[in-house]
Amino acid sequence: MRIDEVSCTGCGQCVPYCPVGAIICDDDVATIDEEGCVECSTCLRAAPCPSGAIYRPPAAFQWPRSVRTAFSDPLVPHKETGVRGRGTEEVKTNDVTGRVKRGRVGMALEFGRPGIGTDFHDVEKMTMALARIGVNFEPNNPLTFLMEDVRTGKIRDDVKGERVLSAIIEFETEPAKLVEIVPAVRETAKQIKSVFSWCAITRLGPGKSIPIMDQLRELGLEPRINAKINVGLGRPLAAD
Amino acid sequence: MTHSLHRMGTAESLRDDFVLIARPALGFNDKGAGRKIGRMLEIIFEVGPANIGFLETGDLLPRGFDPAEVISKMNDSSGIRCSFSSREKLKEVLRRFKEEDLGISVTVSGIIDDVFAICDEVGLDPHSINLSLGVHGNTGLLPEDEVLELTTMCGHALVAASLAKKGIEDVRCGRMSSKDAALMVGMPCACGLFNLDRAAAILSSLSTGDPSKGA
Repeated sequence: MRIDEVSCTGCGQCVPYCPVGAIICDDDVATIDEEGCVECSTCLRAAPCPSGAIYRPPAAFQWPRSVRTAFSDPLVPHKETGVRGRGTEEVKTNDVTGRVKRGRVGMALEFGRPGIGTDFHDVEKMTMALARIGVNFEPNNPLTFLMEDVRTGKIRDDVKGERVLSAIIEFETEPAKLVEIVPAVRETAKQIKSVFSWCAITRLGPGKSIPIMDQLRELGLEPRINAKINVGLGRPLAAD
Repeated sequence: MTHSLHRMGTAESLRDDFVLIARPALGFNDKGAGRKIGRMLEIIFEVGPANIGFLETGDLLPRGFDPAEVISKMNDSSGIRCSFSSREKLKEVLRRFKEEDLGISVTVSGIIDDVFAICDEVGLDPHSINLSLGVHGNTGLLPEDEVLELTTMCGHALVAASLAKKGIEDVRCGRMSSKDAALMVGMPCACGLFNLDRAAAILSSLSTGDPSKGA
């Protein structure tokens, strides 16, 4: 994103709207730190600029900078998946897709959330750690498209330095592997410069039981009291 | 990802905060889904969400829109993302969705026990759950809990911590009502998951120092 110096009145109203703090207002003009800008377009859409000085230049859509928009602006669908946002349908349509079946567990690690942002150097540390354990990265996740090799989790060199609001590592595995995955994620987390929000997806058992709950607790993870629940209205129901 | 499972706050603060997402499964049941999504929207509009937004069209409740026009724009890849601040309204929507049996997947985010109870009351059999395992990594970078209560309500991290802080300060200093500050803070949330009622309650409690409503 850019701010036209001539049109800008230097009012500073846009400054607090940037989710990554990339707008600075000095000497009566606002500017955007292009290295920090994740191209989410929040400033353009929501900031009350009195002079219409904020714009998105064509350069924002050129590779590899275009990765920033793809991962940060939810109004722009991913070219590869057609889904807006950074993930996939994941649990939202699991009753129909059966992506995470009974007896399996899905996990997602959303790097950069909440509200810090990330680059792909950080993400790669985790994708490579997980690849060593042998997880199945979600093929429809836009991040998977940026991997040079899903067997190693290595991310393409030309995008590693791009900053984004968040990027989601999604994979599916067998519960027995959690005993390797959880410690590996925790250990790798110590090397991460940003933050990540972590979640686990499972089919519900009889009586709305949560099959992996005890296992997660034994591994030192305490799920929060709120969650996202697929209420089972989708049809046709996927086979388990 | 709408991140709705990671909304932060105490049980008290989260009690009347629900997110509803509905979408077809691309490549599975999306053919003809536009009409069904339209019907689901009619129900949601009749009941009244706390907020709703459409990434496909840019329409957002606080900006105002014509419901019939929004419905006419829905197509087979459209989805619904909205928030409710009333348990009874959410329950009514789910009851009517079950009655219509349109076959479009629905997820509800909220306190697990509360969502399960609502499902029981409506006669729904929940299928899967996405559990939040918290935030990890360099957590020292995170802002204060009271800021996170507001920013984590945006489905796509578009509500800046700096904007939430401005809203908190504006209400504390009497420059803005909590309702107006909630609108200001929530405006960047394009998907409509930012619960304006809950935000106003949080901002109001922070200005009066009522700990039961804050983080």
